Amino acid sequence: MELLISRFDPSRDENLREQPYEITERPDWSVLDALNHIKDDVDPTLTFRWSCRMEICGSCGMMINGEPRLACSTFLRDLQSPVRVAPLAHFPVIRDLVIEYDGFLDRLRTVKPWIIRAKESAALEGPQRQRPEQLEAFRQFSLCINCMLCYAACPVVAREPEFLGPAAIAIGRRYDLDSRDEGARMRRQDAFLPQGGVFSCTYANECSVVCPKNVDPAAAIQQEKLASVVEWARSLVLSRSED
Amino acid sequence: MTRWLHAIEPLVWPIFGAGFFAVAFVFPSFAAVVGLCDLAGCLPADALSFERAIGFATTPPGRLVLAGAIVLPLWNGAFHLRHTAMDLLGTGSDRFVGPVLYTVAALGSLAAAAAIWRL
Amino acid sequence: MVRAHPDAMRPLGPSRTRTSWPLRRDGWWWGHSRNRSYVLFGLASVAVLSEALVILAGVWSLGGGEVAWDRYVAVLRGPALRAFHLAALPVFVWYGGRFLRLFPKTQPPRIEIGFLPEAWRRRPPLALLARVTFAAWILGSALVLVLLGGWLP
Repeated sequence: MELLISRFDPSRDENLREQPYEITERPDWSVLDALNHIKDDVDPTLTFRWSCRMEICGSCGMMINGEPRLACSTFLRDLQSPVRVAPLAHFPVIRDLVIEYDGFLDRLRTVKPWIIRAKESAALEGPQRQRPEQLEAFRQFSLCINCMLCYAACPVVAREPEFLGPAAIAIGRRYDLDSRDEGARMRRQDAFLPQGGVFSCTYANECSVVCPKNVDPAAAIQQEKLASVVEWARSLVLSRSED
Repeated sequence: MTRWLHAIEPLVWPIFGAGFFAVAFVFPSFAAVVGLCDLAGCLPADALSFERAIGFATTPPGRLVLAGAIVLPLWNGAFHLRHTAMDLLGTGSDRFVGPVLYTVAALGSLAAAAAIWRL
Repeated sequence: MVRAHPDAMRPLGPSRTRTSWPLRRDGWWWGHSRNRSYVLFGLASVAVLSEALVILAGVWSLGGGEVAWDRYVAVLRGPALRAFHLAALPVFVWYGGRFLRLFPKTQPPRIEIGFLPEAWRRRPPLALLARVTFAAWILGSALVLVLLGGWLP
C-alpha cells in the first residue's frame, strides 16, 4: 500500500510537500499503525501526534483522503492505495502532521468552560445536587474529546479567523445547560454575541458529521443562537429601563 | 458597515428561521398552483380571478398571511444568500454583498407593508 | 489542498516556530456531495428571494385594480414565470424539507420553567418531533394548496 504523507520542515521548507511511502501493511492496521511503522522502520523524521490509540484522547486528528479523521480509528482495510495523509485543515502547521492548536485553546478559554456560580459556596455547605434528567440535558455536549476534527470540517473556520468554532461553542453550551452553572448570561454577552460568535455559523452541519463522539456541535450552536437572541432581547429591554 | 450588519444579526436570524417555515408551508403550494396546476388546466375557472384574490387579501388573516409570505422569505433569502456569498467569495465580500441584500429585503418589506395597507 | 484564510485558527500569542499557511480542501464546496448540497441550499435562496418579490408584485397589482391584476396574472402565465415556477417547485420542496429535517435538534433539550411539570420541560424524542414536523408540513401545505387553488371556497 502507498501512503502520500504531507511533510513540512519549518527550517527548510517553504510549503508543504507530499512524500510517498510504500509499506507492507497488516490487515488489522489503522492509519496510526502505518504511521508508527513508518517512523520506526522507514523514516524516523516523520512527526505526528498520537496517544491512546482508541479514539478517546483526540490527539491523532488529521486529513485522511481529504476527510478529517482520527488516525487510530481509520483502518487501512477500508481505504484504497494511495492514501493521502495531511495535517488537519484550517490550522497552521508546525511540522509534518503536527498542527498548532493554541488557537483552539484561546477560543476555548473565551467561553469560560467551567462552572460559574454567582456566589461561590464552600465545600462544607454540601454538594450541588443535580437530578439525572438535568444531567441528560447537557451530557451529549460533554463528550467532546477536543480532537478538533470539527474545526477542520467547518467552512466558516476556513474563512473567518474570529469564529469561535464548533467545539468551543458546544462546550460553552454544555456549561450553559448545566443546572449548576450560573454563568450563561456572561458567556453569551462576552463570547457568543460579539463578532465571531455563534451567528457566524451557517449550519453546514459538517462539524457534526465528522465528530467521532457524536457530540453534535451543530445542534449546540443552533440552540445557543436561540438562547443568545433571547439574551440580546433581554439586554435591550433592560438597558432601556435602566436608562 | 459590517459592524452594523453584525449588530442586527440577533434580530435577523430569528426572522430567517421563521422564513424557512413560511417558505416550506406556502411556496411549494403557490408554485404548484400558478405553475403546474395552471398549466395542467386543473384549476377552477375563477382560481386566479380578481374577485377571489381581493376577497382574500382584504381580510385581516389574508393581510397577515400575505405579509408573512413576503417579508419572512425576503429576509430568509437575503440572510442566506449573504452567508453563501461569504462562503464562496470570502468573508471580505460581506462589505458590499450584505448591505445590498439587506437593503433589498428592507425595501421589499416596506413595499409589502405599503401594498397590503393600500388594499 | 488549497489555502484557507492566512489567519485561520491563529493563536492570540506568537507561535513557537514558523508555521505554514493553513490549508483547506481543494474544491471544498464542489468535491463532496455534502458540501455541494450545502452550497446549493444557499444558492436556492435566490429562488426564495425571487418568489417573495413575485408575490409582492402580485399584492401591489391587486391594489392597482382589476386591470392591473389581470396584467399580472397574464405575466404569471407567461413563459418566463411559468418556467420559473415549474423549476422552483422541487427547489422549494427540497429547501423546506432540508430545513425541517435539521430543525428538531436545534430545539433546546430542556427548558427550566418552574411552573411546568417535569415532562413538559423536556424536548420530545427527536424521532417523534421529526415525524410531527413533517406531518404538519404535509398537512399544512395541502391546506394551503386547496385554499390557493380554489378547490375549497
